[in-house]
Amino acid sequence: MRSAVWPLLKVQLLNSWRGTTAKFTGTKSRWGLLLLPLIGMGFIPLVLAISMGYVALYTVMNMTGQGHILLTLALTAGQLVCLVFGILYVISAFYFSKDLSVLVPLPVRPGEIVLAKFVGILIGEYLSMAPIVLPALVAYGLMANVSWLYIPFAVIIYLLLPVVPLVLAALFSIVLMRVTNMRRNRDLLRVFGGLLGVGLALFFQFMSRMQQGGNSQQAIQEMINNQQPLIQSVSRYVVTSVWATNALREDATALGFPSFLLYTAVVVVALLLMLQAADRLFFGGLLGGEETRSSGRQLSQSELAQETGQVRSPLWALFLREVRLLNRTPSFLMAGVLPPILMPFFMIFPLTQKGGPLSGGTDLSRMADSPWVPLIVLGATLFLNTISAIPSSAISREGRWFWISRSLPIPPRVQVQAKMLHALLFSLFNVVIAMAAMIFLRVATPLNLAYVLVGGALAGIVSSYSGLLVDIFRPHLTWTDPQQAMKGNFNSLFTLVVNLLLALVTGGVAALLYWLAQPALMPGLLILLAIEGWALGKVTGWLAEKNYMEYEF
Amino acid sequence: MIELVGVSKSYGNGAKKAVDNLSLTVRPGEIFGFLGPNGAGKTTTIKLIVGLHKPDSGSVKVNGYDIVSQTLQAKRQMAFVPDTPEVYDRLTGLEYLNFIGDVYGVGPRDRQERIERFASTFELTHALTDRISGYSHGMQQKLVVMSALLHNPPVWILDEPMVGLDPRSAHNLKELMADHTRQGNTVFFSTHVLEVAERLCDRVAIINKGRIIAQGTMDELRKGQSGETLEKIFLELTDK
Repeated sequence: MRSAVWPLLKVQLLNSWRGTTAKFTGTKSRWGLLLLPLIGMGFIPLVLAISMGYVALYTVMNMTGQGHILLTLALTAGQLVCLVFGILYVISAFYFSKDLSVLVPLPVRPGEIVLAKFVGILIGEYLSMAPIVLPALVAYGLMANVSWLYIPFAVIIYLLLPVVPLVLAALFSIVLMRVTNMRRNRDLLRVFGGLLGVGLALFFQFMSRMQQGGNSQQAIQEMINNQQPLIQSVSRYVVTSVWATNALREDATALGFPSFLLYTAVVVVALLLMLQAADRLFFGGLLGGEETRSSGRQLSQSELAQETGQVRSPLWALFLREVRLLNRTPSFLMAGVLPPILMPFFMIFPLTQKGGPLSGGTDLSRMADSPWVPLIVLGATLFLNTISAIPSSAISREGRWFWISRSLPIPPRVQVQAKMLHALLFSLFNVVIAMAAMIFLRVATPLNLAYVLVGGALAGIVSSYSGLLVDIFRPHLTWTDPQQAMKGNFNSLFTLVVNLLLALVTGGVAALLYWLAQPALMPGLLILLAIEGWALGKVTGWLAEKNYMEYEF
Repeated sequence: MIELVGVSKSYGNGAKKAVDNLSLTVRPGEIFGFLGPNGAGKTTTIKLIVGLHKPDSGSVKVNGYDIVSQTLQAKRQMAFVPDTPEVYDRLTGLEYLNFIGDVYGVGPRDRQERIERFASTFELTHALTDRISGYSHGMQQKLVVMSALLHNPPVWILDEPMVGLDPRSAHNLKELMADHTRQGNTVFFSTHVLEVAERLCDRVAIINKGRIIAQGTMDELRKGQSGETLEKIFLELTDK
């Protein structure tokens, strides 16, 4: 019988390609491909910055004849990226993709399914590694005196580079899913993925702090001296990077070819190992998570009476539904809650560094009486509200369950009010963060706190309604995975624009008030926010009444 | 009571007419079966009745209330069981039932009595405190049926309700439908199971290509057709 790998592979590659282009361009149309070069141009500043760093690193290291360290470091960094993200990609593709129920009953070996899915992930990894590895390969190729074999070796090494880390990720995932029942706890994996992202973001924040001296040769020399043990251990343990470096480096004519063969042999052995492991363990881990469980707990009559004894108002029932659905869906909760929590840290942290406005300390008490303090804090609160995706996904999150809302005998404007109250809850949390920051910076006079509390609540109503307004205009109800409802939803971006316009109008009126009658600045601003909230509420309610019946899905 | 007068609905900017000038009356105390081949317009018609779709023309009234101009009053009169019983999978069964009870204003005594009775009928008592994500298709279907009956709707609309139900549950559902009409309520349901329609329904309508091609009691349908069973009549009519 012919091997099933090729047809499987073809389907996976088509799926992967169409999924990736649709994700990047935001459209399923073929015309969307025209957007890809434009999107690629967006990465140019990042690639240029990385390239400049590599050039400086090469220049410094080449003084001691160690220019090839550049290759080792870049290849290792690329493999690390593959390994870290690979675990999440692999678990998602191997164990949670929708096509598994179609693939498993086919007369194919588990290893063949795994191999086809593996290649699908590989394509994505080339894109992830490109900004890290390609500039190093190009920089070294241009600056070092390499032989003619450099280009073909560099291309093959780049193509094979994600294989070993992805195999490690695959082996880890296959064993993990075989011995644990994590397939049932997809939410746990999502939380893990989210925390990993946060961890990486914090790590890069600290790394950028470490490299504050810039790309000067002296700073790089200093950094290399400090990081010598790390570089040595990389050279010792990440052997694939070392062999690949040996195959590519300028002075390795004798060592180059054997190192290249060794490198490709390791890649082939890794793949074979993964196929063996997949044939033995893959189905075991996959099929273990299909069963549903029941607690089997039977409610007594008194328990049922207690549970059903409270009749809530429709508004409260709808609010409670929003709370429960968000709290119990980690993808919703993390996309909505994490950015406003992390952003203050990322915003304040650089300001406290050497040369920053807060580098001299956090005592700003001399400014406490400035009328601008509550205004600036309110602006920051509005910004925190804006980066939360909770209001701008409130209708989208209902997805295929939207039929329930539409068949309820409750006016859409009341349903939207419940969603606004839910989003407001998170805005109030941002107000608390802002007030804590005021205390930390010693600008928290009772009057300032009162202004921020009342103004923050009003700004919360404004931003919640503006997010809802955008979502009512273009809800994304056809998602199949909760992550798509949040990450594949550009409504948060549109909300950012709407809120920016609102902030400009409000700020303009504030400046006018300051100029005309300074004591009326804050009371006037609060009245303005109240009017904006009321007007937006009216418009949102009216649009909900009009549009709720129009969505067809 | 359900009244459809000259209702039409198209998709794709009028390219495909799913329902074409459809008129239909379902009386109180009647079980009405809605039959038709795949893609004939059954689900679209049902979605028009329950307000999930808006008609291009014509009027839909439920117990005298127009679904477009008196939406909320019309929705208060009915309950809907869709063909794919998808409900909030992060809630427990009981939380969902309480949500529906709150929204329809069902009092605590009625709520407890009905949940207890229907959960026992559908053998769902042991799963009420479990998350719906752990329910099988059939269990979700039973939960949606329970939620539909929680506010004792005068008009009960079901789209392919027997799909996914085990024989006992299907039997219980048929009993519930008959009970509901005995109290003077209206039941309207679509099905592909012609034997069920033949045995259960007071009247049936057959829809094909968006138009009603026949409607009436079984005796009325037999007139003018060579077939005796509903299956034969159905095949004869939809083959034309």
